[in-house]
Amino acid sequence: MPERTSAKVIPLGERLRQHREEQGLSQAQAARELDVARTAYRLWELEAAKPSPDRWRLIARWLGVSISTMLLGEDLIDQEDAVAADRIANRAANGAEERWDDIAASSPGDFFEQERSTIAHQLRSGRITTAESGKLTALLDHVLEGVESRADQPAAGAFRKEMVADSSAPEIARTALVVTAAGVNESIIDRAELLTSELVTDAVERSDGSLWLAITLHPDLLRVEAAAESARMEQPRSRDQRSRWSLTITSELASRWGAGWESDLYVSWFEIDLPGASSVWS
Amino acid sequence: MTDLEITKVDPKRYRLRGELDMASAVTFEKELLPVAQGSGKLVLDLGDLTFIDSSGLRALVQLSEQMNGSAPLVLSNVPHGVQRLLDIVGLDTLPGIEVRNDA
Repeated sequence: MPERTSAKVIPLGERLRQHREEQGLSQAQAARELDVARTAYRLWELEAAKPSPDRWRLIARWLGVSISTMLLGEDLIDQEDAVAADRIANRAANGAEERWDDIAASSPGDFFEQERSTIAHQLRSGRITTAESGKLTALLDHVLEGVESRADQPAAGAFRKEMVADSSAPEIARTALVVTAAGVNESIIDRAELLTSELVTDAVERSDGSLWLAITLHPDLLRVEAAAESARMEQPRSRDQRSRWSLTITSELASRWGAGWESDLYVSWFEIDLPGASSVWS
Repeated sequence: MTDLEITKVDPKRYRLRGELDMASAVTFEKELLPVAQGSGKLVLDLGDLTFIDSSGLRALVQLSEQMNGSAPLVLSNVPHGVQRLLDIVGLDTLPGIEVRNDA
């Protein structure tokens, strides 16, 4: 039995952000190093999207961790299995010319095919036992199952996230909107992007701590809602020029909008009707 | 971090590339407010500005105020999306700012 480590499991998004900040990189620079679009990278950090298996090797190498450690952060394997897999791979590499991941990376096929052929290769060369080969194969099947069940969940159409209420929130919210509402007509996306930026900017200015964002794409409308934790109950607060413009923009571009208090949360929202919306779901 | 690049074309002309929102307004103000002080005419080329919201508008107005009415802040090559926002809030609510796409 592998010893139980008490180390806290770090979610992948958190690990990516920590590593990027340690390296002093912007999200755009990190995205370039990992060869993905900046939008995709940003959503990985937010845990709003998951990297596909063909990115795993590159991400693990960039983070300087084993793939099993990375999958642990993705909740695709548990700690005991991650430790066991690493122990087998490290022992197989002991005294060998090539490391496990290097052999796997040079094999043909996708991630799972590469791992399977590496397991077979290591078994043939006597570096792992039949029992270890069986253990790794079962683990791989389990990971594949996890990835496939994840793919069944709707990726587009809904976004729920607690965010830090700082000046980066409007841009993060706009990115989430563009991804969530993928497929919606471009001029509506442009409108919704501006409305989202106004909604979230206002929520950041009101928030004393957390901020929740919810984006929902229905067949006939797009709804974006922000809730800010705020102790400032006194109303109305003096509105500066920016928030007056924000109000003008919102009433001009939203189909419907509203704002108000729900206990200690300031909740604001807008909706945009989607014309010819049936095509979105076809 | 919102990406905003500010390029000095000449001492009276700057080009913006990227997005001007709550986060990048800080960069904008830090780089351009010192330049604007009593500068006379200043032209901002917005041709590559892909997004602006009310925080961005506030940054533009602060820049024009910093110029102390010595001359207008001129916005040039205003993209369609930016122009739409200016139309919604009404350019007359942005004192000291002029749109001159041929500037």
